[in-house]
Amino acid sequence: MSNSINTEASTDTQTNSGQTIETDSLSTETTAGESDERIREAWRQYDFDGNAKLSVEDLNVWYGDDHALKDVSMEIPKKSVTALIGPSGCGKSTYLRCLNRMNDRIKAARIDGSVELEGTEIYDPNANLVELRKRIGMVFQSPNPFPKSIRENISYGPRKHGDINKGLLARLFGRDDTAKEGELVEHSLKQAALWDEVSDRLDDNALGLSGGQQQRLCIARCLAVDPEVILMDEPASALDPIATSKIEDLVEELSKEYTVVIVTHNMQQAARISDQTAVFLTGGELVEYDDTDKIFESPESQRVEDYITGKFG
Amino acid sequence: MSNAYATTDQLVSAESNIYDRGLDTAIALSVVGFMLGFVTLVNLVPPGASGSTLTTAFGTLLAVVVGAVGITSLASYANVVPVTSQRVRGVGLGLVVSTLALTAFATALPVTMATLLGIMLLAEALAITAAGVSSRLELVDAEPNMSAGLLSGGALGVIGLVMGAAVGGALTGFGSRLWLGGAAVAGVGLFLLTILPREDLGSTLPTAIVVGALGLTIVTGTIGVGWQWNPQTLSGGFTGGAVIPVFLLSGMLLSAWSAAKCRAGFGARGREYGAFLVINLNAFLMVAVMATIVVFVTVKGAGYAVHGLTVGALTALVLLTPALLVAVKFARTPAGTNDWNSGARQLFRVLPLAAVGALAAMFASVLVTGSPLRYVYDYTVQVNRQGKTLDTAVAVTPDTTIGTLLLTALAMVLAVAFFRSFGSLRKVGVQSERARLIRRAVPTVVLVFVMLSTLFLVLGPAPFGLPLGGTLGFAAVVGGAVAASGLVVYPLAGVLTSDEPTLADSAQREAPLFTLGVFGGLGLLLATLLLQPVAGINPQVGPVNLVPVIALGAAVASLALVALTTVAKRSSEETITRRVLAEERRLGLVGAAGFTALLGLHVAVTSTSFTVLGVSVANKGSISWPMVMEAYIPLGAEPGGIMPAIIGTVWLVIGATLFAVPLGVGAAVFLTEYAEQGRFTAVVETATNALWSTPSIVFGLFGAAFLIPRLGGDESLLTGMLVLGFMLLPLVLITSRESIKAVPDEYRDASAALGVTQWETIKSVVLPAAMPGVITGVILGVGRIAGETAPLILVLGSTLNAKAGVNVIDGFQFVSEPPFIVNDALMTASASLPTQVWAVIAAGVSGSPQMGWATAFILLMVVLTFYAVGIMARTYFRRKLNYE
Amino acid sequence: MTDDITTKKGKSVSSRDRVDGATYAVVTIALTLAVTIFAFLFLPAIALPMLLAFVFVTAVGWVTYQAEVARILTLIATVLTVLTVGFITFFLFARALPAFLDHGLDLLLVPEQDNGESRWFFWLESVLPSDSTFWNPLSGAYSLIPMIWGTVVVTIIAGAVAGPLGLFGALFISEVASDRLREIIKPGVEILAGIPSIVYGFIGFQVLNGFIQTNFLDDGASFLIAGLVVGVMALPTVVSVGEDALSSVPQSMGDGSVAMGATEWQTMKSISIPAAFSGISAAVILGLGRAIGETMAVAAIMASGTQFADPLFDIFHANTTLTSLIATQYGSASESTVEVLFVAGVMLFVIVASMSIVAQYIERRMQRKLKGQQ
Repeated sequence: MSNSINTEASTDTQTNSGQTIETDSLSTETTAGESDERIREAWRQYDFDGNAKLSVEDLNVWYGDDHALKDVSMEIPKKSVTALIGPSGCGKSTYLRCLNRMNDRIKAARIDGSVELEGTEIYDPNANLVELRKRIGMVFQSPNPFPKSIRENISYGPRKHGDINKGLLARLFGRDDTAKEGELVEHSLKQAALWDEVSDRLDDNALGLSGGQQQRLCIARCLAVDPEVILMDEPASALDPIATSKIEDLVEELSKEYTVVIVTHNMQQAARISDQTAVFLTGGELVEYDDTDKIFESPESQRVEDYITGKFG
Repeated sequence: MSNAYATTDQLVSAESNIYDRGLDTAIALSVVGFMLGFVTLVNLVPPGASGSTLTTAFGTLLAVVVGAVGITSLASYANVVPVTSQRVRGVGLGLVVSTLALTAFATALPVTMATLLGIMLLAEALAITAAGVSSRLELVDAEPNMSAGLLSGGALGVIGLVMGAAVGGALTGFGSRLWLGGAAVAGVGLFLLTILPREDLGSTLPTAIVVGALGLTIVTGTIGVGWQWNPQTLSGGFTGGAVIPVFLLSGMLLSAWSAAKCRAGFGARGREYGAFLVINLNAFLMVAVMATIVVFVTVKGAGYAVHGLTVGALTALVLLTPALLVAVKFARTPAGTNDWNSGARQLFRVLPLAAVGALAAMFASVLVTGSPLRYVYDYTVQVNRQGKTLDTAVAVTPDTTIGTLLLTALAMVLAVAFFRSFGSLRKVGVQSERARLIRRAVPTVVLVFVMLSTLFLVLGPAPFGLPLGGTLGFAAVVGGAVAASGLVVYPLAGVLTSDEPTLADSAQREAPLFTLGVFGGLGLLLATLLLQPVAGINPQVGPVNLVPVIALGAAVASLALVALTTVAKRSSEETITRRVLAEERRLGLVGAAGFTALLGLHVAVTSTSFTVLGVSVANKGSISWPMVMEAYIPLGAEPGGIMPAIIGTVWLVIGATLFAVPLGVGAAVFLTEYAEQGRFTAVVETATNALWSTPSIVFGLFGAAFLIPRLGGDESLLTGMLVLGFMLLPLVLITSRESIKAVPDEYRDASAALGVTQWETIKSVVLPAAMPGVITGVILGVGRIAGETAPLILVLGSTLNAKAGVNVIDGFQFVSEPPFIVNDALMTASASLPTQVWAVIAAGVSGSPQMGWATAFILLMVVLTFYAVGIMARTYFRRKLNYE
Repeated sequence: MTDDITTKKGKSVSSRDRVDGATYAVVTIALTLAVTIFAFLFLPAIALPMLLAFVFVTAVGWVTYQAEVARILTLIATVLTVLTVGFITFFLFARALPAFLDHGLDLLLVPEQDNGESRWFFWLESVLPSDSTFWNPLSGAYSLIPMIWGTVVVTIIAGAVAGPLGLFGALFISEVASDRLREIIKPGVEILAGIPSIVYGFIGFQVLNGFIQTNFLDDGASFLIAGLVVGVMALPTVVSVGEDALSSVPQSMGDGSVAMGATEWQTMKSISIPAAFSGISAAVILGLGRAIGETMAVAAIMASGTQFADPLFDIFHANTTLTSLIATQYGSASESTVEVLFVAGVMLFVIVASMSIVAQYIERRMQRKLKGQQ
């Protein structure tokens, strides 16, 4: 009478309890130990010279039941490059989209917490989204030019804001801004280092450009609105190395005048171009935020060190 | 270049002020006016209403608005549903204020609905003008563009054209062509007035003029309640009853748009708010139309459709079981992890359970007290073209009879449902020698029973004159039944007498007996049961009917197993033991449901009812629903129902599905998996899509030209089936193809990489993955063809007063000459739900409209049920795919 | 395929037998089916036994050569589907042909006048003489012109209802509504599409005709009511196809616009609607196709009348459309009338099928354009 019990009792229940175990282990990980809490306090007080452009406090995001971002707080300094790194699915893109309320477009998302742009709460119910997004521009992961000409792509924003008027009515009122538009297009394209390549075909469809050119067009389009902050969501992930290096140079150039927040999964890239780095790890947590040199040389948290040295991804 | 476009705007706009609140109220008033326009259009409140009718109407409106806004603000205050937007809050408040004001007006002033509506339009015009002017005078913060734009200009220009033409025509008559002049002046004038001034004036003044003009015509009675205009040239004309609501709908849409623009400060955001308001009002209108149609048909038809419906309380309880289980399952799903709304979610998930529980308690109370629940009402029947009022009641009676069909079907569904959640208990517990012996013996015994049954079936109960059925059959049935009962009780005895320290351990040790007891018992009893009718016996032991008693006992024993394992599971700590016990419990549930089904089946095959403790299971149950269970009685005192039509529709749907589904799925598999993707598949796809949008009447013509001559020269059920099948075919093909295409290529590659042949891959990988989509498509398609009428008129024939439903199953006959099999039932005309409605229409004044409404109601419910099930299945499968 | 396969145990199995057997099975199945179809076409009495033979052969084949038989069965299903399309086209035309030959262009002309000349229809005269008889099977007057005109008027009214409302509805569902609202409204629109046309017809017959009598001083049935009802029926088609088109515009495009501070409405106007324009027009075309082919609601609301409206734009007039003509006249029609009804059927079939093909072409072109962009 061997009392052998085979665990092959039921596939069904096995998977169920398997999931339970998984969530259990996950929650033990996420309810951080005391040492983690101490480190978090340390970086929360991360200090930089000058005042903050954006200050985020206790930001939480849910997609339905999924808690995508947990209690993120950080301050982003003016005219610098801040890199957000972390494994895929850690919530860094979600976080970026919170900074100019692009998550409002995802209707299942629920956001809790506070983000202030130079002291003004952007999640105020009376916030002017048009104004907000004029001041905080965004460049996306894959280039997304409009199916219009290069010129129209650049002047799209100012035209929608009524800063440039064209067309029948504008001519009727004597407020035709074609010349102003030309200046703006040239200036923006030069800023994005694209002018030399496209100056002779401004009326061609933007979809005819190469991937790298399209992405720089998107940056130029964003600059044409004259934002204060530029959010970049892995802007080089869909590009080849040459195009990537062009974008990186561009980012460095931009940081002289603009506050740049850039998401990347490429740690070398973060190390090369950023002034400070925030590391997100699985579960939507901000684990550490500090000067880039500090993060890459002597991180406080063991988890960050493991991630940076590639032990954990 | 920075600061080239100075950002003058504030990131956060100031708190709203009186100007904003006023505009919110204007928007709210527009929304109310828009709804009132709809209400007057469908004559819920006629435009001529005044006095108490009007007061009542507005009182109702006020109650609805105050209730809705009140609950929402309460929820917002309690932070359950936080409403943070100032505009939404403002409009909510505005709704209350404007309905209050309207109610006060309606009570205080002796006005008609039409006048009040006109006053509303005038008020809107004034509010918009005031807003536009104060913005132009820079009294308020706004960011207007230099012009309202060509689009608005064009729209208002067109409105001006129409109004100018109407006014010009009314003043001078349409004969003189002067109306053209009026149209041109008004159109061009409004166009210029819109585009030339700055946006704040351009988008308010013209609208105010239009809205004000509409309001004035109504208030002054130029177009009043009794107003009529009957042009000589047209065969119809216009009355105030139709024109005033249309004025309201368009005027309020216009003023809502304009007020919304003002509220958001013009410019880009103003245009957005205006456009969104219009889009939302349009969506509201669409939903209102849809709801009106369904509600209207229900109100008109439901009374007649459920006349005389009575249900025994016990039957009602049995019917509730699946609902109860679904509710329990729904309540058990996790309520989410964050605490923000988990309380609310839990409440929401428990609500259905509570509702079902309350219903069950109500039915049980009928059983206990013995006094029926009755809802009495009267309905009208058409007798000799005269409406005659009859009394009827919908009732739940304390009848304890359960129909065998219902019991068997439900119990089977439950058994299958439980079995699907049951995994396996193989290799669990101790394999005793005896168990192994039984496991080998049971199939043999079942086989013997099947052979015996076949023997009796072929030779009759008394072969060669020997009374074998009465002797051998009797012995076999008794023996089999007793053995089955033994099998079921064995595990119970085993667990209870085991010498293991805890109940859980012994239950786990005896796991093989559980499987054997339930499955062996079910198989053996089923074989035994089926032997009875062919052997012509129904053994009684004394006063006791043997087989059903054993079935009942087995069901009780299975429930005892459930109880036992539940108790054991409570006390057990070990994960694996708990898991095994959960499986055993599910097995017990399978047994309980299965044996109950066998009990019902016994009654069905032997036609002997079975009673225990006052509850009886009989062939004829205690549901009586004349509308669906009786044929029409044209001139009788009682109207009867539409049973033949329902049966006809059921057969049509079955036939069409049997024809279209294999063909459609097969073609989809070929086109997606085997055929080279190229011109051929593209052409087939285009052709099937074109076939899908082909008018249904064309299918009818095709059936008449192609099928009828070949199938036997007249309208028939079979032709109807095939024609509906032709209609269903393209949809099945399209949806199957889509869902097969949606199966990722990785699956196919993975399967092929393991050396599996293409067909095996399709059979075991592609088709199972595509099945949900196919099933959903078929359900939706069936819903559509079930209500299809046009082709059936041509090929099915239509019989309004059929006495009985077609009997397809008994219709099959073998004959000695080609085509060897005939089925007269398939070859005759039949009734069906849609043609039944058409027959009422075609009968004109001699048709019974009440009968038509009731039939339309049942048809609508049948079709909507198909759609609802299809859509729910799709949502369910989609969620499952996304989350797993 | 005829190579010998060596299994693990070292036995050599020839696949030749298997292939030959499979070929026989497949050929037999195909042959029996072909015979069945021919029997059904030309000698229906023996079709059923042949069908049984086919089922038997298939069952035997299935047991022995499942993969090959499955393949031939799916091919057969495809062939049968294609045959169905072919048969529908062929038999409609074949039955309509005699009427074409007998009447020719008379079907599209105003019937002969006293002077013996038939005339082209109304673009020559603004108002047609109302005394000529257009449709009278007894005297052999078969002009489909009034029915065509009826179809046109009903379709125009329906399009005026379904087009703008449908576009706004599609915008609402794809761009404006919150996720939860969309989950309610989208199935709601589908259910609206599921309400059987006979139910609409019954409502029209019982209620709306009375409504128009009191509110529009009409004697009952009219184009206006039929058109409005058909418009509501075509609405779900426009909404759901238009919504599909709008939501197939990549989200990233809209994101790009909104991220620059354009409002959602500006984004819709300058990005989503232009990009989805062809899809939206396809939706309208499909909706119009639905309206043209709608039978029962029209037949229930206005079942009679074969004369022209006078004046032509009189929306309070009522006469049959092509579809309702077939539905109401077929039962009592003589052979020659039936042939004319088939001509009406052919017209409907050709018009609606070509609209569907055009819509598909437009949709495909749009999909290709949107894909090429990425």
